[in-house]
Amino acid sequence: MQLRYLLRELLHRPGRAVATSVSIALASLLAIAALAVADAYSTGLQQPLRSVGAGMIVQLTGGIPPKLEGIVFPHPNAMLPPDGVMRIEAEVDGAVRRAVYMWDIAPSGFISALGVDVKGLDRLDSSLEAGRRPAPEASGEALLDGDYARRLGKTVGSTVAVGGKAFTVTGIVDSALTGKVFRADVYMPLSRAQGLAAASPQVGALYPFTPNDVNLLLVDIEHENIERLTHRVREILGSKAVVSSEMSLRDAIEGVFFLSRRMGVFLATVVGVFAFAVILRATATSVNERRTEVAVLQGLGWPWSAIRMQLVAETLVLAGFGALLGTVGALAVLVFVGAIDIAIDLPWDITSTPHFLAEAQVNRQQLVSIPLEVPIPAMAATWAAAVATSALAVLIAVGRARASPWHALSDG
Amino acid sequence: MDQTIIRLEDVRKSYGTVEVLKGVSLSVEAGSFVAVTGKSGSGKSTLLALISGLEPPSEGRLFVDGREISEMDDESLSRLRRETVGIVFQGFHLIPSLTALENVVLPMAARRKRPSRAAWEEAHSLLAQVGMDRRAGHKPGALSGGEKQRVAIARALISRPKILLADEPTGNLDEATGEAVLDLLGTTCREQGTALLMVTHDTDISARADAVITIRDGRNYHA
Ligand SMILES: Nc1ncnc2c1ncn2[C@@H]1O[C@H](COP(=O)(O)OP(=O)(O)OP(=O)(O)O)[C@@H](O)[C@H]1O
Ligand SMILES: [Mg+2]
Repeated sequence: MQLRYLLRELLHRPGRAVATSVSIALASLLAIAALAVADAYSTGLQQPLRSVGAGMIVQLTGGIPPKLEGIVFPHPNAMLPPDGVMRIEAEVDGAVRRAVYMWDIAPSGFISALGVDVKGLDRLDSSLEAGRRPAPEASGEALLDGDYARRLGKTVGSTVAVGGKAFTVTGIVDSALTGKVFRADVYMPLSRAQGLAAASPQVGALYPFTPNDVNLLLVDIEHENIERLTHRVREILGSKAVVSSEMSLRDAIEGVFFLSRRMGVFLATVVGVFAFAVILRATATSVNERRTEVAVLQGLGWPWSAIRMQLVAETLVLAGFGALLGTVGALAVLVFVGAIDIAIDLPWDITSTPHFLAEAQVNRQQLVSIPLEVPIPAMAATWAAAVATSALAVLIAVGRARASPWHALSDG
Repeated sequence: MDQTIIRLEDVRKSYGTVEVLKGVSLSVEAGSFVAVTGKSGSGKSTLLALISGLEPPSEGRLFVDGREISEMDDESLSRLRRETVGIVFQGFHLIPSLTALENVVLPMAARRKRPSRAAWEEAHSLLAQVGMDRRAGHKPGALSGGEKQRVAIARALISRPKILLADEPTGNLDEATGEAVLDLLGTTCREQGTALLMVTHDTDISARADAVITIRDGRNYHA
């Protein structure tokens, strides 16, 4: 490859060089920005579950208790079969947090309560706005949801009754930080919740619940394993399993997903067609214009490989420069826009909204603000695409210019 | 026979079903000046294209500098053009983005490495030889037809080829300029001992040639 020749050539046709670079820059900018937004949407869908520290939530649909009084399990929170729990834990090498979710229904109103294990308490610890975490083995300590505490005028040191047992409030949890997935009025150590549930006649009427059982699994799982595990859980628990993840949220929140998928299609179409058409046209034009130039090089004894390399290098310089320009532009756009906000309407089975209680309507919409991040893989893919399509376009165009060089030259 | 630099044995060339050359046999002596004549469309350019190795013959044997062309691959054919065969066209065909000097040195840049210092010096002296050293830094767009052809001749000669193929090199030039360019071609080829194969319609030029090859009905007639 002859650098001097290459530079001379680019400077000789500045219009073409600029047009090609700018087209590739625009295409790259669009691609990177759109992929960043699509990424943000994807991250946004993970957010509601991540606020309880899970990538997936496993539940089982159950029956309706004979009476709605005292400790009851919400409809999507049937007791999970102990062997099923163990098999799911084995699937993900123990990255599972067991929990018990329940309501305590009284004529005066109702309380939602979540019993979590040590890791769950660790998580809540980071959401405390006042006080400290309950000791896991302490008999009667609990955390209160901030909104609930304010509504009832409770503070650290107050007592609250759940299932007829008194709990001392050791801390107040910031509702904004805990999110809306399995938000509870009262958070307590798992063993306490298990004890309350096992003693409840309404639970006992439906399930053989012992103090070792649970009705909710929070699974810490990576994005790429969700599909496989969803499948496995359905095999283990059967058709009544309720498996929630960013995937199910995607299905439940058609609007958001639709937008992001459309964006992906839009992006792919715009970038792919636009960039390739521009590059192909530019290179085809340039190679056609230079059909004789290629023939001259052949006539001067340039091996075909050297000619091809020269033309490919020319286009790659333009493509590389364009991609670089587009990347800088995209970064500027990302910094300028900063973040995108999405509203997610959570399905009722992971908020456990008591649909039978009109006065207890819970706002199930979760607002998520996702900072736009630099999508490194998308950038790499864009560069690779720019380089590959350019190289391909030149090779296509150059290949056609190879035949009959002498007659291209003897036309006069 | 030791002096033969080009030899064709019953060479045929067809484009599709059209047979342009129907059995051409000839030989060209090293350092000689051969004029190639014939009617338009008779196959003169095709003959030169075969000798340059840019077109493969359909049949027959074609030796250039002792090697048979049809047995050479792209790499050795381009080497042949780089080292043994120079070419000059009616249309000059200088690279428009490069200066006169860079055009002349271009054949030496074929091997993916930068031209050597010696190549640049050789290009300079060739430009001087064709009277174009003052315009070394100019691009083709700034040169007249005659000047462009001088540069093209310098470019064809930079590798000191044993053969120079010229396809109507004065076709685009006015008479006086054409004469001057022909003189230049003749003298430089003679000085370098280069065989000159030139397609021309000009009978005056043919008269000056060591041999004339006339192509008619796809065959050649030596005069
Ligand atoms: N690539 C090609 N494909 C098909 N036919 C071709 C091709 N190149 C040349 N021909 C045909 O071969 C014949 C000889 O062409 P050639 O260019 O060799 O003639 P020429 O003697 O140089 O003519 P001119 O004096 O007009 O330059 C012509 O009929 C031409 O149309
Ligand atoms: Mg011709």
